Amino acid sequence: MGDYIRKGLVAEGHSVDHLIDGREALTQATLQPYDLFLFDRMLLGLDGLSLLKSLRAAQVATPAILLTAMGAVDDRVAGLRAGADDYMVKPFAFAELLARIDTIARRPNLRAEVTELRQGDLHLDLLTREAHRAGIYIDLQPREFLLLKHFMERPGRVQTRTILLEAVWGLHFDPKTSVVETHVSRLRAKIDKPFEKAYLTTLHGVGYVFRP
Amino acid sequence: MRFALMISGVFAGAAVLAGAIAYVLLSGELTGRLRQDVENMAGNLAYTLQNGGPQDLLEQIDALSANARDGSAVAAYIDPQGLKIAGNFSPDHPFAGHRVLRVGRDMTLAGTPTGVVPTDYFAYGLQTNQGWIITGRDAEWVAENTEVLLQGTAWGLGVALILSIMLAVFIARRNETRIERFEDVLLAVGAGAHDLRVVDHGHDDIGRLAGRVNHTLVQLEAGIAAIRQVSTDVAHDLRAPLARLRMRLEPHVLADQTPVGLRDDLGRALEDLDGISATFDAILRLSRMQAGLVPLQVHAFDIAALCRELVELLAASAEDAGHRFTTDVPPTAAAYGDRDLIAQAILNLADNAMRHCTMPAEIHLSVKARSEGWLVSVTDTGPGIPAADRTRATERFVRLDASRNTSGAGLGLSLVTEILRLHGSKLHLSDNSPGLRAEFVLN
Repeated sequence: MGDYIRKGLVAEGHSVDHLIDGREALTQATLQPYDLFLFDRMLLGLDGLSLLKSLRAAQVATPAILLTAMGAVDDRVAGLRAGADDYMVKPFAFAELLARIDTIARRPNLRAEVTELRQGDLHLDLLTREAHRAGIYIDLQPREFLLLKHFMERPGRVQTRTILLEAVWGLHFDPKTSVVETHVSRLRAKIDKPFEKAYLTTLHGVGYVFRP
Repeated sequence: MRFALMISGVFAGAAVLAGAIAYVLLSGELTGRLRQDVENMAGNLAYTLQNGGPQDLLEQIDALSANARDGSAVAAYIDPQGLKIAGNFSPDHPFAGHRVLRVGRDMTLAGTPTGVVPTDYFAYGLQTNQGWIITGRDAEWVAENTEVLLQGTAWGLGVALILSIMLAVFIARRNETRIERFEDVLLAVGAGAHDLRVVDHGHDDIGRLAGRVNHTLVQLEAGIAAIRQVSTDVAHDLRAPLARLRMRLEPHVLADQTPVGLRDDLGRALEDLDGISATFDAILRLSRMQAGLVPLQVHAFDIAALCRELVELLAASAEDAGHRFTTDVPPTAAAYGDRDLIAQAILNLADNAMRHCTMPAEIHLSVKARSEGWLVSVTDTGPGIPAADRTRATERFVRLDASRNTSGAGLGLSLVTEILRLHGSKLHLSDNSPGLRAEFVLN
């Protein structure tokens, strides 16, 4: 499990230190500066939750994501209380892990004023909320606008259903309905169907990706 | 408390009845003795007349009159011609046998007796060959004695009644407090405080019951702890390999060199894998709820606003499936509950409606004010559920024959039922003719 994640992250261009002992991890984390911690709750020596608490108590503020097999709401609350920035329940999509790492890593720069997005021949005005592709006006519903904005801000990055539910609908639980699928297919009908090149692709079992 | 008052009432009734019986018996007894007494007096006087002659009789009557100045006893000697010879009273006419004489009507008293003038006399007349001897005793004596009895009984009864009511109320209060403690503890345990126990040191039936209840609570807590442990273990044992499997497959779905057909196949395998873990999560969640391990986040929230959000969430999917989704919701509706869980419940009901209506249908979500709270209804015009199957439909894993060819694990309605149970409400399924009407009340 840890090896797969390490390989995947390295393939994305990150450099990764992979430790399986919680006490070693604690030492390592205090000795060297990291951009992000990824802790499993089940570790040898010291569990992930205690590890995170110890680090937070030692004023180490590095963003942290907890990975766990325990998915109950109170487990999640416990994780966030211990100082985790995010909490992921196994099994999760690797693409989702990447998206969450992106979100956490991007946090400080979010304040930069962007008023328009341009990807390929698609143009989205964030102030008037109007979209044009190849100069042709596209009429968007409010959720479709939010969805397109989310995709255009992350070109080439796979977005999972869960990520979209959180980002576009503000839902932190899975409503088990086809709301994401429906909106993505409507959006696709508007921005892709009349044109030659499709930007929005479905990756079965993983999510969607916007590639201009 | 009602039982205590009832016991006191029965006790008071029995005591009054006993008093009445004693009164009747005592006054009968006293009257009998009084009659016997006057008969004896007359007999004595007749004996004196027989053996001592009229002179001795007169002396004895005078002595008797002097002794009874209060008029408690009277005696008279009347000669054979009907003339009164001696005595402290005169009857209206001489007679033999028992009679009750009333002063003024049947007799006159000689002189005024001291004290209260008696009104009635039990009298006895004895005819001898030398005239009549008539004696009498004041009937007031019977009345006085029975009055003493009545007063005594009344006081005794009053005091006993007050004491018994006090005792009954005390016992009832004490038991009520003890039973309230049971209720409080059981409610709190039901709400998730599994370590609470009933504190009761009584050595009676309630005390014994407390011991039994506590014993059961200990077993319940152990069972819940076991569920917690098992669900954590199973969660780990199942999630870890699923997670590895996913990590193994996913890179190939994302890799550009994977042939498109294979990529789609692998993608659908991942979807199935997610389906397994979603079903597994739902089972775990349901078990934890049923075991009271899911703490409710109860806050005031606007259920009307929530319904509008949910409709917005579902409208597009409904439209794509050809359904008409309509709502009737007031501008605001303040409710109490766990907003996320209620949202989940309404979503499940609406999703069920959309999923089980294979033909385009009309789905309606409404919130209406009722005296008990807000009535939330989800109705559809689809195939509905036959009346005989409606209870079964809310059980775990039950998928009615009619829905075999639609997706779902059969957990949706049982999750709704459980969420509503935690909110002290329940799901009511009925016929929408045509279709299904699913309703619950939230206050």
